Amino acid sequence: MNLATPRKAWLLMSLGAAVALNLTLGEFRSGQLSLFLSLAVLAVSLDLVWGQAGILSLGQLLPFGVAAYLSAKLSIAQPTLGLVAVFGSVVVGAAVSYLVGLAAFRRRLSLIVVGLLTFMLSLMFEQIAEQWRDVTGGFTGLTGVPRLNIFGYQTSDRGQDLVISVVAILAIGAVAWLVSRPFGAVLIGIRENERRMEACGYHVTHLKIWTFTLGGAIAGLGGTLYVHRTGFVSPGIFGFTLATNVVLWTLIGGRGTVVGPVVGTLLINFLSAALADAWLQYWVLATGLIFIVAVILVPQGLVPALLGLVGRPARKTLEPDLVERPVDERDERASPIIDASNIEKRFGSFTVLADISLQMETPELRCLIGPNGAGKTTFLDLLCGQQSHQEGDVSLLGHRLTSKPAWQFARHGISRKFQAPQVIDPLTVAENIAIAAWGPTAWPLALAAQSWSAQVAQGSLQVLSQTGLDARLNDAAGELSHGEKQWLEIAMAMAGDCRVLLLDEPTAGMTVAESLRAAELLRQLHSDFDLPILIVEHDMAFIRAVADRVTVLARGALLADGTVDVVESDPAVRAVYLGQAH
Amino acid sequence: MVGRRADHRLRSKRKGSVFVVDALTSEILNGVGSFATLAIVALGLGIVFGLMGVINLAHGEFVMVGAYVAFMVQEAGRSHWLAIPIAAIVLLLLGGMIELALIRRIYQRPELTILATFGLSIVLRQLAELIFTKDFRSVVNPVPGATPALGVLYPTYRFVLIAVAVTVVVVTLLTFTRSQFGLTVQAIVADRELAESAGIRTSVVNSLAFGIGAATAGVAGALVAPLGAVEPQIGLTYLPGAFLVVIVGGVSRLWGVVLGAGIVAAVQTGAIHFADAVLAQIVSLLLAVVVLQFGRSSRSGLVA
Repeated sequence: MNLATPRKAWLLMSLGAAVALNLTLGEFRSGQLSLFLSLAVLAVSLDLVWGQAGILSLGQLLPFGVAAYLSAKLSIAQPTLGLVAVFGSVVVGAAVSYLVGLAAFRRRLSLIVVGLLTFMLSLMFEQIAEQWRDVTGGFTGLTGVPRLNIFGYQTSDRGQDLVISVVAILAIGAVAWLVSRPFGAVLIGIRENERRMEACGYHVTHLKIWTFTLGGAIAGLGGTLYVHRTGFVSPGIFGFTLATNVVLWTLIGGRGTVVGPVVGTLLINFLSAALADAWLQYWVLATGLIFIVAVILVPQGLVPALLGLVGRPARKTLEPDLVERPVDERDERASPIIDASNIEKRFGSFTVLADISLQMETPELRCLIGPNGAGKTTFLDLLCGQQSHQEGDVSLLGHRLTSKPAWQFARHGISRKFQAPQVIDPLTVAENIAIAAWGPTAWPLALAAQSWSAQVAQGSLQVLSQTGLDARLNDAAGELSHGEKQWLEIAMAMAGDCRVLLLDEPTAGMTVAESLRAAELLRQLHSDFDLPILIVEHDMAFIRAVADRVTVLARGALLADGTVDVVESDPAVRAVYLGQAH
Repeated sequence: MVGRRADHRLRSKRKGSVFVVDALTSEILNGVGSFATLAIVALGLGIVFGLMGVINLAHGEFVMVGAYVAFMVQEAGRSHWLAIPIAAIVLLLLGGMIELALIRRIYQRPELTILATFGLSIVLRQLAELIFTKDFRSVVNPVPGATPALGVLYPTYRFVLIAVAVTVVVVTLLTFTRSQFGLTVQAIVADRELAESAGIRTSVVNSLAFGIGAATAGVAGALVAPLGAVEPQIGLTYLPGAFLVVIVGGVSRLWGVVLGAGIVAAVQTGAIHFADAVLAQIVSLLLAVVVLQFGRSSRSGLVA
């Protein structure tokens, strides 16, 4: 199936329509069209960061406005610099967003705080632009920006409109292409579940910064198109009105789709142009009301809502090919497999883990048990970088990984399944597996070029086929039952080059029969692939069926260690479980 | 930024004035004035954000409504002193109603509250424009003249503003930290469902908390009205500064807002004194970024 064809057809139709409208519409209307298309580029840049990657940017006007000022400055100083101004705008837009991204994403600020920070930055740039008169022209801004000059050729009004429309449509098409690639699925993963993506080996912070930078570049392009169309720029370009409007267009059209924000931008702007002359004040009031009503009634936006009415999904799924990964010649497995020594973990003054050491020398199936609050999940978190600790060292497969981020653990083959199953709900089962398989080797640029197929480890395919998930590859993961999600997540954990598997309560919510079946499957994976597995569990029947060896934690300390029989007969273990005095 | 108009006005008055002022002392007094305004504006934002997790982008418009209340009280021929409690009551009711009609539908989705209050701010501003037009309205200063203090003459009304703002901030903080009501609110913050099953009517408490947040903004609006022009956009002047305070001070403890206001006012006043307004903006931006990089968590700022 060639997915590119309908997209190309759309692109050619849009370009054709833009040319036709430019030739047939009057000077005024065709000018409006190019102006609104330059704003649509801004809306699409917001959609990329917010709709796709889930970064609430209320300051998308920042790269847009800085680029507009730069373009105006350059073009006024030397009209033949037109094209330099365009390229410079893209670069400066990217640079501005990169800096904001560094400040916003390195510290995992919450969605809300990022929104607040970007919004505040934009409003403050408005005030700086007002006050820095020498450079920005103060309140009046910069006027008399000449029309685009392309290699010494001065465009006419109408010619410039055509250039702006075509460039805008190409830019929007490029974003649509990019998010239809595996890169788009990865952005959805980041939007839905950053923790899962890190556990798959994605450097989430890095990806967010680069996506935000790309959004800035696109907004910068929008800014230079916009300023060439309007011929002037003033501090209002950073201001509250435009900042809120672009969010409104994206929201109304439908974030998470590329067509939605374009439709929203054109619809609302043509409407407001038609109504504004007679009804300006009421129209602005109406936009406020539309905002409120849209948020409450159609938070997903018009385009997805309309597509939903005719029974079509807003997003086309990828249907990636899952190919069995050739078994590579593994280097001799480093020993010990797990070596955690003298771990101490505190939350404030509360010590969760005190001087814990745990070694696994040969590939075994080990269970970690203990009463609630013993520190089992915290300990598992430390073994895969989900949390950091104060004292002690963690080495896996001979790599010292103490205090390294989770994605680096994943890249060394340490895979984790969380207690409550964490899968990417809007993506299909196959997409979830593909994302997990790409994760350990993914870099932002490579993701854009990533093909439709994923090389999936044999163990992962085995889990899919033995649990019946292979028949549901194209169903959304969100539609699976709790038990199926558990298995999907285990299959995800094994999709890459998994060398150590950490499972947190894999049988939670399963019936007795199901958990015995799970024990059987895990033992089979263990023996087929010589896979070391560490399982946190409560269920003694499951543990008896599965474990080679059991380690017992109680109140953050190591209580016992040995075979199931040894541990079960240990008086100290019986005491903590049954509450006997000892 | 905050009180920018007011500062301009004060400065221009000073230039050709009969006051003999010691520049540094009056800058310090300006800083205290800007601290009081920042604190009272940011307080409501901090209450609503910290306690309810809602970013209220219409908070500046609550300040604007408060300023127009002061204008209407004057038009009705009443004293400005009456305007302050009236603004508080009007905004308490308005805030409570907005919580009932809008905010409570979207508590679960923080990003939607941002967008809905975006819309709300547009509606409030546009209604003000329809009712009062864009014209600059002025509220007459009830206590013109200046009072000598620390060897300089300083406008009397600014002392009044500082006194009232500080009182309102302290009383509100005590209400939220020391009273039975404050305890109830804290229980809801800690665990909404548990509080509800313990018999607390969370919906009433939420409306009231949102209303009180709005009321403090109303008082701020009425207080600053005589300092500059009253117009529909006035709220936007106060919003970035208030956000900055919330980021710097953090919202995990409400007192953080007061300390945050102190830090922001000191930094801005200092930057304006030693350089100019553009630098003050840039320094404030850097301050916010630095706090976000080194704060312990996104809910805590430098101080709380």
